[in-house]
Amino acid sequence: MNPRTYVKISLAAAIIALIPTMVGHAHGEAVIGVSPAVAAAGTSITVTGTEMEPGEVFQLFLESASTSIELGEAAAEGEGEEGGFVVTITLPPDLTAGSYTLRASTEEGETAVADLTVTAASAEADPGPAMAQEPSGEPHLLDRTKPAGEIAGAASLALASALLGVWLIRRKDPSP
Amino acid sequence: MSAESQLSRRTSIGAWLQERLGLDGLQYPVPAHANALPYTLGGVTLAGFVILLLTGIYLAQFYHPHPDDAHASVVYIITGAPFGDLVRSVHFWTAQIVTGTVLLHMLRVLLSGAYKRPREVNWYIGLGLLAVTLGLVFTGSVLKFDQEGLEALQHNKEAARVIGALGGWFSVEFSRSVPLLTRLYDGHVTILPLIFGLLIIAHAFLVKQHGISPKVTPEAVSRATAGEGGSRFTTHLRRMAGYGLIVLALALALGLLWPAPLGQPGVAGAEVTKPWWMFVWLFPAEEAWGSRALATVPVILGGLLALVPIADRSPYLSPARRKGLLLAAALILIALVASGLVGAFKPVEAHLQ
Repeated sequence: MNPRTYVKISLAAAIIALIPTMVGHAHGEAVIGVSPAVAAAGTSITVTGTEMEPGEVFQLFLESASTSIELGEAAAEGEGEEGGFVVTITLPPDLTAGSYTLRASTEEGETAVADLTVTAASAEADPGPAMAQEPSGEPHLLDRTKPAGEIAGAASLALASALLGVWLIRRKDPSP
Repeated sequence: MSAESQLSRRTSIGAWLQERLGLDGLQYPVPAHANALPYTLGGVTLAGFVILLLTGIYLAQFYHPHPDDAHASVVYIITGAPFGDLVRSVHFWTAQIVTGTVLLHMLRVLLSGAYKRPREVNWYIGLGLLAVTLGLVFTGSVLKFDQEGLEALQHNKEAARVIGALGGWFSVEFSRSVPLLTRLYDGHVTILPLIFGLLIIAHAFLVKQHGISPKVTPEAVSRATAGEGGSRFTTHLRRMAGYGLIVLALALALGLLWPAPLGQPGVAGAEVTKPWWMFVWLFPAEEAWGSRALATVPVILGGLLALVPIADRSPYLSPARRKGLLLAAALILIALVASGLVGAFKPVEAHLQ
């Protein structure tokens, strides 16, 4: 194959690989955001929609793996192609704590989603992964002490592995 | 038992195994330089994957891949499962080591011109294996579902949105009945290992077909070396196993000294952590160009790596005869390392929309 053909094939492959990205940007897909991202059941959240066509009406749903609750609707306002909405919604007070997806959909099938973590309305709620009030990059503090036998066993296994490994690497081939 | 009868017994066991398994077939010739560590890095990586497979199977007995339970099940692995903390730490540290050996293996192939004719297809298979390895590391980092894992998942969703139709599987909408975390777990334990298995079979088959690339000398040219050499594959295999055992020893020692980290339970919508070292170099690009950088920068880098055998078609292996390509590769590598250092030391900032 001559060099020109190679170049042509490479260019064609690069263009094909980038098509999905271009399509994604050309569409100007609707985007929604939720504030705050962690809210207690019964409190209010603000849903902000952008990159929408003015006049589009979005149905808002709060979904988890097992439930889908309709929260109402929001109409995009604005000029040209710069539409959007800002709506304040009160979460149901009996909403179960956990991770949810807030979905905004039009009848035509246009959809945007955002994550929302719902905490229990009561301060006495059970502690659990979904109940963290403040995001933290700190380590989860746990008792990680191990029995002396486990440490000795693991250290012995490490030493034996290392010695056997070095022996296998350094061993000379037997004479033919 | 006398020494003579012991030897006789060993010989008869060897003959019995040889007749049934044909192990002598592994004693085919390979060049002596194939046994040097730089040419054994692929084998070291494979040995590391065996450790990951075995420890992963153990961890899967206790891990619960649902958003509501994932973090708690990791806490249980650490605090309740027999040897859970140690096995998880060995899994974690082996993944770090394997990512390093994969990258070093690719660097060795690049430096020694081992991607040249007739080994171009194996270069592409290697790129596939690199992508699968990074996919396994990424999905593994999400599964623990702490703050860092949840933020990685949010970046995953964002990147999926950017790449449009190709990102469909990575979006929440793909399946309303199975959470994305559960599907990423499926990817981590079934889809990616299956792809890895198929690719590694093809990779090893082509290495066998072409032989190890010739030793780099000023005049050396790329050619098939199958059937040549002063050493044997069994020697290469023995050294691979030896290095694999050293990887296990290292992972055990690191696991005892610094157990695998686990953060606080994740809170959606926040960005307060940084990704692991193999992804942190994307941080500055994401800051500069937004979420689209998460998809486009890796695609561009992958495209550049794919162009290597096309751009450098001379038969010579010596780096002195490939200065242009290696200089370009060095500049990109320096940029990635610099970007990684900036990402590592810069304060965390929110990027997601």
